Amino acid sequence: MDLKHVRNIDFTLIVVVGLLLAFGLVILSSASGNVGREPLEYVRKQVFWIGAGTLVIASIMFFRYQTAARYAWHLYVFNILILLAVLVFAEPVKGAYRWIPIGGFQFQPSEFSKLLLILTFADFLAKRKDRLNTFKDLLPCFAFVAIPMALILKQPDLGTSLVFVAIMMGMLLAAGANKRLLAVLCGGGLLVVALALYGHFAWHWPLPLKEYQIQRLIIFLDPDMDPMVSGYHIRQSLIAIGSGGLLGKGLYNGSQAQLNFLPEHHTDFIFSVVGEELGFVGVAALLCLFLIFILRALRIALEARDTYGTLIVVGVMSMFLFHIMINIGMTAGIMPVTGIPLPFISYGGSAMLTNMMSLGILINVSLRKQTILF
Amino acid sequence: MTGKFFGLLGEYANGLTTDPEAAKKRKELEKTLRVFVVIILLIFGGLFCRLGYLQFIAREQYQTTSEENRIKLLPIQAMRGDMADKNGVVLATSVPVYNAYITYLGVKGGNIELVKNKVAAILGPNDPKISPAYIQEQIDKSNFRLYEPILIKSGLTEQEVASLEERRMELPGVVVEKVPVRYYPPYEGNQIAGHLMGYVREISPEEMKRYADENYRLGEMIGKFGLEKGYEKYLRGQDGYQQVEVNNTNRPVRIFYNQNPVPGNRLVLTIDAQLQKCMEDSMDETLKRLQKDLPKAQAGSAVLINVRTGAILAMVSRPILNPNDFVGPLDQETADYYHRSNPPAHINRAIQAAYPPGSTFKPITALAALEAGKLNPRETVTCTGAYWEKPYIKCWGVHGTVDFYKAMATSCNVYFQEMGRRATIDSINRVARELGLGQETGISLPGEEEGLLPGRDWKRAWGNSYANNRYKSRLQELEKQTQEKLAAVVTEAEREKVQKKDAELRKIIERDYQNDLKYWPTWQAYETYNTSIGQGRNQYTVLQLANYIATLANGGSRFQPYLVDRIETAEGNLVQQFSPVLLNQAALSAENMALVRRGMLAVTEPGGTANYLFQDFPVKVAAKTGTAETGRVGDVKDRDYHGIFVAFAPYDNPEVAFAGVVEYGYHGGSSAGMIARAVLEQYFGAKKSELTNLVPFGRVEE
Repeated sequence: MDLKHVRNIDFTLIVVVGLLLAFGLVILSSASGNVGREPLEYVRKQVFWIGAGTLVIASIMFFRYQTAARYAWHLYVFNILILLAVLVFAEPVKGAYRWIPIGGFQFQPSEFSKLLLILTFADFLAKRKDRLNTFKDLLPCFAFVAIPMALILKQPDLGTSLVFVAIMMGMLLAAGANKRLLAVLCGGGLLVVALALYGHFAWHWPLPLKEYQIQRLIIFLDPDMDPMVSGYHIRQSLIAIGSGGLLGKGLYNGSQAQLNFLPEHHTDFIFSVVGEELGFVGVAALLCLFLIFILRALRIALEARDTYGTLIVVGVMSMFLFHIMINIGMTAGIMPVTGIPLPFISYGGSAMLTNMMSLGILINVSLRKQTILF
Repeated sequence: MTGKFFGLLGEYANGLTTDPEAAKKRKELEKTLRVFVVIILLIFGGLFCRLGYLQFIAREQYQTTSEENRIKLLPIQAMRGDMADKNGVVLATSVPVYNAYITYLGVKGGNIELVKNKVAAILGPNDPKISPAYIQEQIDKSNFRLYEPILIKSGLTEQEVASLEERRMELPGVVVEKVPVRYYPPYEGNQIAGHLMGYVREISPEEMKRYADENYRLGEMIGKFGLEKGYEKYLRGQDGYQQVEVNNTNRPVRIFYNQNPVPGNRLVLTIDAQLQKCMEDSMDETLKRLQKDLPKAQAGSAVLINVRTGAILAMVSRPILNPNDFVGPLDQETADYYHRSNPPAHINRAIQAAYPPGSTFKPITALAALEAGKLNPRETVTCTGAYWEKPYIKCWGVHGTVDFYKAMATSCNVYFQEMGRRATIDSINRVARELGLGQETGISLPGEEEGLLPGRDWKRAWGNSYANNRYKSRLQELEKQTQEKLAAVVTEAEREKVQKKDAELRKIIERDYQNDLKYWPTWQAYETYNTSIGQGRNQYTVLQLANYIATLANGGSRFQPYLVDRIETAEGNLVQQFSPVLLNQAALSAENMALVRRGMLAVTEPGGTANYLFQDFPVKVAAKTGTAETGRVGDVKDRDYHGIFVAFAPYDNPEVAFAGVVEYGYHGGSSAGMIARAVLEQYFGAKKSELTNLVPFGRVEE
């Protein structure tokens, strides 16, 4: 790493992420107080993963991000291998095969798989930058993404496969693909999904999803349909957020979270705890931090030294944006329940490491932006 | 617009690049990335709006739901009110039963395995089903209501209570609690007034629905019969509550506050336990004695009433009902005894059964004739063993010339049929109604029978419906037969023949119907004769009979019979004092009533049918015996009679009135009369006599 790069460092980004992490730890101390063996167990673990992530970021600094492009195919194969490994070695948790035990830790390869996809797909796209105008041009791109995505769907992890779609769409858009075509594809895709779901319930069309997944996809439309089972999460989350009001019930005082009415309140539904305990003020602050973070990432993409850099940053940004939208939308009852965590806030080692690595990539690209040429 | 937002991104547009190719590329990229800005702002804007809606507009509703999630109310059972006789003898109460519970809040954080083992060691020896596994099962079973104490064993022995209390420190979360259970204590060794008390049992789903406004809990006890039912709202009390905060698995987290229960009110009855017991004992004794000759004599009822107030002093029904049988589950044998045996015990025969009054109706016939001005007490009628009008209803004997007093004393059927004829049914109806027969007395016990006082109106309704039913069923039968025949005909000639026959038969049916409509709805003379001697269709409850005698005795004031003198709080403060309720002042001449009373006195005087019962009695008793055809299907007409007895005393200044029925008791005097004698002895403090000695040898009465 060239020391002259250091002055390029994006302090706003670092500060915003620092604030997000701090916010996350505070709310986690409340949300996980009744989960672990001792009140701060999960906070301690999360701090450990933040520390580990910081080390990863630091080590990433020393590599030029372009190196990844050179080994793109190796990484792609590696990605597929680890996803296959999941299907072979993972032990089922609640019916899904997602976790591989390594050492004393449980790793979730699909988290890292997202990053590997971004690094490899960016190279794939950069090489066909100006040939993305027709549907036929896009077919190889779809095939490129479809292979790892299919393996993740097999786990089954519907949420992460949807993240793949979001990453792909974002990167295609940034790579200059035909915007109208992408819009048609997005709209058409949503229409097909809606029609398929409707057909499933109206005429019992077979779908390549488990019944509980389908149920979770549509229950947000009317959680009271099944308030004790599939609608339970959303109902309790809405109660938590709604009862928070403007100022919230106060940190450590949210009855929904502290009395365990709200499930998964330290992981997927941690945002509901923010809503309940800190109210609209807390929620708005968190959303603002995320907004700044996303816009800074967009700026890094714009200033990237080369197309590859732009594309990986847009990939990372798309991933974060999609996570934020789906996770918060889910807790607020306007998005389906897909089990996607909130970046930097939800508890989870693999996710935190992936998020920190993603941050590392953003910093790496920003350090080597074009301005230093002069 | 997007350009403006792009400004947020920083000062990248300062023209830092010089390469025109790169500048062009950058411009293009900038254009593309503007699309992202729009998407980003749409997403964040959408989330802001949604969260704003949830936290501002929908806030109140979610706050309520959030509170409902965490606050639960634990009921604390209120003590049900006692019932006591007029002198304070407790007839119904609640006794504490000790139950062992485990409370989740108590064992939380402790060593639950150890607690389970110790509890099982203490309670196991007396109840082998209690093991650590059983306790765990109970905990698992109440998984959704862990904020409520979990019952491990109910009805602990004193020793078990002591052992649990002793080792309290080692048994965190184990609670021994007193729970009230209904108990009806025997009086001097006998269970008394069971039908009066009634009983409580778990509320049924239908009752839950019916009393939806009263806030009954599932599984709560509710009065189902007798006074327990009639005075449910006073006896019940008000449950207390404990407010606890629970978590998502309904485990209690902490207790907010307690609201203590308010115990139910206490009923002080008009019943005198001593009189009641005396009546119960003599009823049992009489039934037992009668059963030697009359095996069907199994059931009966008697009432003693204060003629000046309407207060009931004693009320008995047989077969006996022991309310303690209804505490807890009912086994098959017991359930059969109460509901399916013959005769079933689950009936308060004083108010829920109606009997033909037999000769005890004759004072009313006499009153009716007197009121009509057709009876002169000195005038004689000649009894030749049967009435001279059709259908020549027989008398018990051949009484020769009888005047009013002799007719009463000997219960002469001929005399009273003649008086009934003179009075007419309308007058008899009026007098009976003035004295309360054929109508509910209004006693505050559930399920009172109305009885039946037949007259012209009743006959019209009954006769019309009888004629119509007969007509309809005959027509249906004819149609069915004609259809069958028509289906079998071959030739046209045969068909015509069948149709002709049908028309003929139809004509006959029509004609019969017209005759029926003339005959059946019309009151017939013989029905008046039947009614005059208490036979026919009329039937009344024992309480109605008692109240009619009481009204006659006190000179025409008909009071509403009542059982509860006053209602007090558990501490003894008066809540409500009941005073006599005058239902009506009978529109009957005082002289006529006095004359009839004098006639009833003749019944216990020498020559009277009840003379043998009261000849040596220190107080003058006026009475009337009755032997009534049961009117029940399958009974033998010359052997199966109900024995009925009514009386009041003292004759000169009446205080109490009695009415009693012994089903299949044959003679009124030797069945219900014996009970009257025993109760009046008790009431007036007379020397107790051996009842069997009273029965005259080989005597045939009435």
